[in-house]
Amino acid sequence: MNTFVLLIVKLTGLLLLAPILQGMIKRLKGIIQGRQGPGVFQPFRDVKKLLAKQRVISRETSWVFGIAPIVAFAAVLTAALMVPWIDPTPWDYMSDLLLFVYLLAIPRFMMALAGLDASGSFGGMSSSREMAVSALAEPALLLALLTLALPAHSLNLQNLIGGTGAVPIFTPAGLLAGVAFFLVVVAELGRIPVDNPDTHLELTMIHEGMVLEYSGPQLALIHLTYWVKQMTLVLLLMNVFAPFGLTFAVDVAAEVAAVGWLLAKLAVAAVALALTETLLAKLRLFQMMDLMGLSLVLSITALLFMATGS
Amino acid sequence: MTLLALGWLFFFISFLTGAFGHDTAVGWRRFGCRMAAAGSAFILALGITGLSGTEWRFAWDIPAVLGPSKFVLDRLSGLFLTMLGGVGVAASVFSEGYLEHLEKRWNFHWMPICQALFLGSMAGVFVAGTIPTFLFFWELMALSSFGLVMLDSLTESRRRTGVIYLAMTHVGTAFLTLALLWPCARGGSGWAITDWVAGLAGFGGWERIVVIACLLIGFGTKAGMMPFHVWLPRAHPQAPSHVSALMSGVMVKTGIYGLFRFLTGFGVVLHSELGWVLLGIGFVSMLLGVLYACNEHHLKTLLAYSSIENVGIILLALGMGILLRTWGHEADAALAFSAGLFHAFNHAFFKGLLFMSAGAVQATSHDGNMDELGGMARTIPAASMLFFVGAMAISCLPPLNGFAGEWLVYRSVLSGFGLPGMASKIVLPLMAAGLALAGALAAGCFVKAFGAIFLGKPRSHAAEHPAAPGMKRMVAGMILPAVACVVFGVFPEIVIKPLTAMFEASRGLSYGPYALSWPGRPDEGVQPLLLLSCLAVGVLMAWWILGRRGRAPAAAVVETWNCGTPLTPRMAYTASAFAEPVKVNFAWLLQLRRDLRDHGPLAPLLPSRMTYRLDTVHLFVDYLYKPLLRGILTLSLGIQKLQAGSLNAYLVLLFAVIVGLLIMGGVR
Repeated sequence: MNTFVLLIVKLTGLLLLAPILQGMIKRLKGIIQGRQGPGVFQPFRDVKKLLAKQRVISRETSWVFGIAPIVAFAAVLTAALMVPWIDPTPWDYMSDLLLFVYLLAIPRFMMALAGLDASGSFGGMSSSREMAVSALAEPALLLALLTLALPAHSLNLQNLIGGTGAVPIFTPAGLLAGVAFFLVVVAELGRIPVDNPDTHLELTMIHEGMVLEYSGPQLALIHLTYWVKQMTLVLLLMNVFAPFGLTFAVDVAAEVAAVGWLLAKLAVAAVALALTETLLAKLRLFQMMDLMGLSLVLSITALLFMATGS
Repeated sequence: MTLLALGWLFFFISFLTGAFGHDTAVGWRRFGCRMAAAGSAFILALGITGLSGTEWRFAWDIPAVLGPSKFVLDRLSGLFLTMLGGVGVAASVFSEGYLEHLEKRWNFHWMPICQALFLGSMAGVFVAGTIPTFLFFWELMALSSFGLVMLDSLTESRRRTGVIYLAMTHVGTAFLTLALLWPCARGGSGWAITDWVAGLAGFGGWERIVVIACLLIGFGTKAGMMPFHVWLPRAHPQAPSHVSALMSGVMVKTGIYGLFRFLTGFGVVLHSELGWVLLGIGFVSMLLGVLYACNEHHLKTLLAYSSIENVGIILLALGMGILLRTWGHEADAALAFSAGLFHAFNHAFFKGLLFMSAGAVQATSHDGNMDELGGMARTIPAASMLFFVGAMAISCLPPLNGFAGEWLVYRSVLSGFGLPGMASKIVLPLMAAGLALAGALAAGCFVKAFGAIFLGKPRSHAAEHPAAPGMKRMVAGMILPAVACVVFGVFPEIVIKPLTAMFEASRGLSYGPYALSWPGRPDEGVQPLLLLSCLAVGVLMAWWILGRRGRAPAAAVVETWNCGTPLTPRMAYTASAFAEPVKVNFAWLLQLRRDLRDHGPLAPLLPSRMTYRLDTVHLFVDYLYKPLLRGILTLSLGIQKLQAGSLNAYLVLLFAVIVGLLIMGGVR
């Protein structure tokens, strides 16, 4: 029963905080670029507007087009439940590392198919690129997490925290793995330098091209999915590689403090993502493979560090 | 025993319909297919009894042919018989519908004859208890499958494929015969598999190495492991689709069965070197297999390469198990072996399903080139949904069976990390990364296949044909493996429990409260049923969100946005275009050869008729087989000179041989 209540709380918090994180990143980006930027709550307004809009769908689409956003949303939401928030024990039954990595493959699979469904060039182009980038991003993600999982002798995400006995980013292996993980997060979220989330017309687009044919409530759902995925990856990065302020005790004061830490971490992540988006330029498509290759090499190096015990 | 006999009896009836039935009578053909399905159902029942722990041994003297034969049923044969029965029932039901579109093209006498022999001989391979019996069924299986590959052999290239298949499979059998008969002959106590083990135990250093290497080559050729895979991507696409499903789903697994039966079954003492070799072979097969699959635009060839990938994953688990066993971690080794077997089991179902869907596509469009298809989700929606299930399973997406199998393989690779030695700490995480890379590439590969065939606009008239006649029966056949994909994904313990019970070391271990778990690690694992309910809740929430339309009008259906220009089918990404980024990324491995030519009259000045060709160099074919073949041909030409010479030369030869023999005799 307790678990059930916690899950409800978590789900609600997730659906509320995830759009705010997106709003924060956009606002910060605006400020850094010398604009005012949209308000922090703009994503909520976007969703509200989209939900009231008429859907416009292509006549070329099949049943895949309809189920893709729904299945993607369900998979991302399930993955989000596995990630630790304020304490390292999110939900025992549902926090396997491999399951997490493969759950995140479901939305990719579904949206890549949806991109091909409308028969346009943009969708196909984006799907093809997405699958090529993820082919390298997925092993990098897995290896970065394994760097922490192997010394902890556990594939349970909750046991990763404190598995090395030290804060990972202060150890060489943890730091390398953390950087590798950050690169993967940037790629998974389709942010600069891998992709540009702000435009549909960029010829190098990946994520935006796949969802080009979606409109109205379906687009709102896709946005929501993206935000939840962003929140999940950011939380995982922060709580696994920099597990500051996680509470281990059932204690109201400690939990309030942990919530404070959580918000602070989200703010740090928002600043980091906004900064990378502003300071870096979009990479050419085939240089992106080098970036993912770099991430892969970093995580392999991290593993070697870990194996040699330094 | 009754079940086996009944299975063989029904296969025999099916055989008779081929031999004596009228080749244009639809009724005969259907009857034959149903008899094959009934026979397979008995084999399935036999497999389930074996898997659940019933063991029997049965001796049957057929002195003139095979000497005293023994048939043995245990959990290992039970597992493979379950595969054979399951895929066999599905393929037989499917074939009833599939054969309808072939009506005028093939000789329908040979189809049921070869298919019945094929099914029956595979069942024989799995229950054979003595080496001669095993080899007899092995050879029968090879010949009958050759017949099935050659059913449609009107063109030169198809006959050539048949010859390559026949040659490769017999080279494999030759190695196997040596590996299986030699230890028995040395031991001298009999021809049962246990005698083989005893004989091998008496062998010293290099003799053991030769036997194990021959065993690996023999079974590896059948399993399609690299570099002995070259026949597989040629032969599988050429057979009719339900036969491809059986070949890729089950026949390839006879090689896996052999490796497990002879290497893990009876406490053969193994060395860690074999484990490392298998890890290496598995790794190479897995990655090259999936890369070639990514570059393939013929659907059935793509599926064949993907089988090589999956065999690589199975061999990886086998190698890992051997390593763990040599390091003394018997319990982990048992789980690693089970992981490989479970993946083999799952692969039978999803690959069978995918090959049958490919058959439905080919029956409808008469074309297997994905670059010419498209939009078929509208003409054959049921087949597209079933292909979708198979594609998700093979891309190891949870909660389907592909994920359950790969989870165990991952887990067994990672369980080696805590072992002594630096090599394991460096190599094993790389193996895990390779698994992840292969998984992601496979997902890309099947997004490509599904998208190119079923989505978008039809790219040719072939893709616009209405559903083939007999589509209902084909779909009925495909539903069984699709259900299996879901059931074994959500309840993997149904198979894993009996599998692990096969190994003594795994008895009495403590598992966590999960369906997928690892012994001694009670705090981790995956609970697929819970996962499924979470996904269901997510779907309901999404449904609810989508329902918040407010006062918005119903959806408008319009043309796909295309920058204002009319949309033509050629604008959509083809399968070849989809794979382009992967090709560029792995160009160093695939060694692309681009060939852009202009055939116009004013060629270099005014480009008019351009052709573009992109080939990948298949490493093993171009760098191993072609030089080898050339070498053998040169050698035989050299020998030919000697042979076609004069009588004098023969006399000299004869004299030299006699002198040689005398010297050898004198030395002794």
